[in-house]
Amino acid sequence: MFLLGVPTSFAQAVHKLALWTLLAIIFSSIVRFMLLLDINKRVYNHAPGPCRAFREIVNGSAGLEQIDEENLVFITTGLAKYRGIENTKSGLFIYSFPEPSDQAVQHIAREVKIENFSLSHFAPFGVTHFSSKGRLHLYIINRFPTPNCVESFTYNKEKNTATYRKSICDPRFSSLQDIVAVGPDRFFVTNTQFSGRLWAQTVEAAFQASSGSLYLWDGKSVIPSINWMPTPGGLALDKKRSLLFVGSILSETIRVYQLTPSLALKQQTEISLLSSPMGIYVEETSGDIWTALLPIVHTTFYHLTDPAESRIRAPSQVLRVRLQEDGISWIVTEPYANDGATLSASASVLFAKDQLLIGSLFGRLLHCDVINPMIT
Amino acid sequence: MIKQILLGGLVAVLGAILCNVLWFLDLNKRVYNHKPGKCRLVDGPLDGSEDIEYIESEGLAFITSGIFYMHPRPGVEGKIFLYDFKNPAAKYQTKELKIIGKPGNFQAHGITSWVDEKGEIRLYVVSHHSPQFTHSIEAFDFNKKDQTLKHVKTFTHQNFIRPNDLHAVGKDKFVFTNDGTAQTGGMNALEMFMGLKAGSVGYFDGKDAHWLVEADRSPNGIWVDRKRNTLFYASPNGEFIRVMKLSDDFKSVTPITQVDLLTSPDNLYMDKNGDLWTAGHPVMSKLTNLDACSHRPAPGTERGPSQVLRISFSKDYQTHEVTEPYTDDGRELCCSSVAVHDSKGNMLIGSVAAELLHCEYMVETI
Repeated sequence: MFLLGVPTSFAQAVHKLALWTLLAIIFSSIVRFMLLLDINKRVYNHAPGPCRAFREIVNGSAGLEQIDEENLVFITTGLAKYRGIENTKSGLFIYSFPEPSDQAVQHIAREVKIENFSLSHFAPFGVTHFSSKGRLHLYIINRFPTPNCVESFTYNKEKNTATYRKSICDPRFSSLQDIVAVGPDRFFVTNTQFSGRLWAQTVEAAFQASSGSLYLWDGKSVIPSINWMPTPGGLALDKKRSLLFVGSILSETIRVYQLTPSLALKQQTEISLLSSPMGIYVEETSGDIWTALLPIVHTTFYHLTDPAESRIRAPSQVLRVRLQEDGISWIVTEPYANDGATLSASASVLFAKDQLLIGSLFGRLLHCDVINPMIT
Repeated sequence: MIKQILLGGLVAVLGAILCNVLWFLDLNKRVYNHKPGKCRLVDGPLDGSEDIEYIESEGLAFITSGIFYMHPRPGVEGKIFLYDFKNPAAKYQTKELKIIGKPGNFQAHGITSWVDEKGEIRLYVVSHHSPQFTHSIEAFDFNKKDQTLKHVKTFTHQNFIRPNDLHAVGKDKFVFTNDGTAQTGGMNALEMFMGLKAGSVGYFDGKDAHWLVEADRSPNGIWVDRKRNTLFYASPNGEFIRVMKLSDDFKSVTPITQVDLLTSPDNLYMDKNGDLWTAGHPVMSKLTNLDACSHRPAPGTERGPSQVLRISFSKDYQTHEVTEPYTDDGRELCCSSVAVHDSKGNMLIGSVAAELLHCEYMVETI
């Protein structure tokens, strides 16, 4: 009798423990999901000075790349094509920042002519460049093919043409977002989620799964640098300080890695933002980190499900993070915020000559003067 | 069976309350600093600048300091400071006003003013008497020549349950808010977390008072437009501003619209363009206690963040745009409660229990 009693009570205890553990897991998941949605958040508009949108760019400006020595900015447009919006015009533009002292300047972006490549299969996201032997190579993420590819082009400044060279594709490239070159024909690329399908991505996002990856293309093959990252998105390189910055969209953080000469990564710190970072830009001189963000998750989700619907807008936000001397503490300021009426779903940002360029996933490109750059 | 249904219902109700508390606490929010121009603390108030009354015709602002709110603040007394927008040399200075016939246990909270046809200024100040936390409205006449205040009247009424702010619509006539009913910290926390409509809005005619809104969630800042036909009040716990049509005889109000801010607005100010300004508390969980809103909190206590918003309405008040001229994580200014400006690039931002801040601004940065 005694022997029969022990297994029964033990089994009951294990059963209860399992039940309560399961309930606790479910409960904490629900709470985390509720807080993730940002239902209690809204955006209050403000700008660092006068702003204006470019007339030429209306189908997205998700990728921005600055080439300091040439005063050139490359702008990718037409990302919505990967969501099946066929009448989206995709391509590449260039822009040069005017000097702040120039008055009555016209802000015009010029379209780059793309050669030997079909724009009907082009849904460009992040863009990076590398200059070598007097040649300027561009690497542009293309979300259109399944799986995704990185398209390589050679840019000719005199002719303003980008000539297609090759595609770098891999079955693991399901949802590429951003890219940064770290050497001749070498780049890091973020794969945000395991799946390329929106419904599966939604499930991954709801559970806040660490199903993303950071890959390195070493010129010959695709190497996983970091597996099982939580929704990696924006990428930026600080060449001077050998730092790589990786944004996590749903963890709402930016991870800072020390980049070794052999291209290995050692995590240095993690900056919590409580807002979803997309594009990242690092000022070479100061080391300040600029990031364009999607501040409210649930409105962003609605916007992603129907990019062509102009009434479904997502707010935009730009933050500037100043790392302090110790390298482990920082101050965050907010140069720009908008409820979506002016700029919907900001995805990329650049700062130069006291001017701000803010790109969006599927809409406009915005240029702002920064009146007080020291306090912005 | 019935037990199971009741249990399920109870779990659902508790779950809903928990959800609302979680969202109320703003655990997924933080403040990102930005300012409209150069900002600097103003000499003078250190124990609060909870409300500011700006008299545009004079270029003067009156600032209440030394709030007492349920919890004792030893050594802090109620004061009124004067700021002169017309004097650029005193941009970062205030003058503490001498109060002739100062009432005992005076602890200043909300403030409003009435300027009569002769240009005489009368101030009305909400006061919570320490230590018993009883309430009154004190009236003061401002002597321009001497720059002193003379206490002239004390108004008390049973409808002054827990007054927060008031707005004058005539001499000794004002609308006022009670931000709740509870007189202790514990009961106030219950009101706050349960979302109870324990507050109210009333009208006082100099002798008697009646209700305009008998029950609402934490009415705080209150304003009436210049034509005296539209009433505005802010609810920090409900995170909204209500816009209501005020009857000509001040006996009733009719709802027009509600602005859901999803942040906690405190006091209100309407500029001459008709824009409504409010300062408040963007992250509720940072307001652990009044100490988080003081000049020098206890070690380990983080100062609460500040936020200033500007709301531009369409003429019928049906649509609006919200801009954010200022935010701070608490290092520069903690727990902002009011913002006024002179339409010439100078802004004053007051805080619940700490300093007063001056900011320069431009049209593009607000």
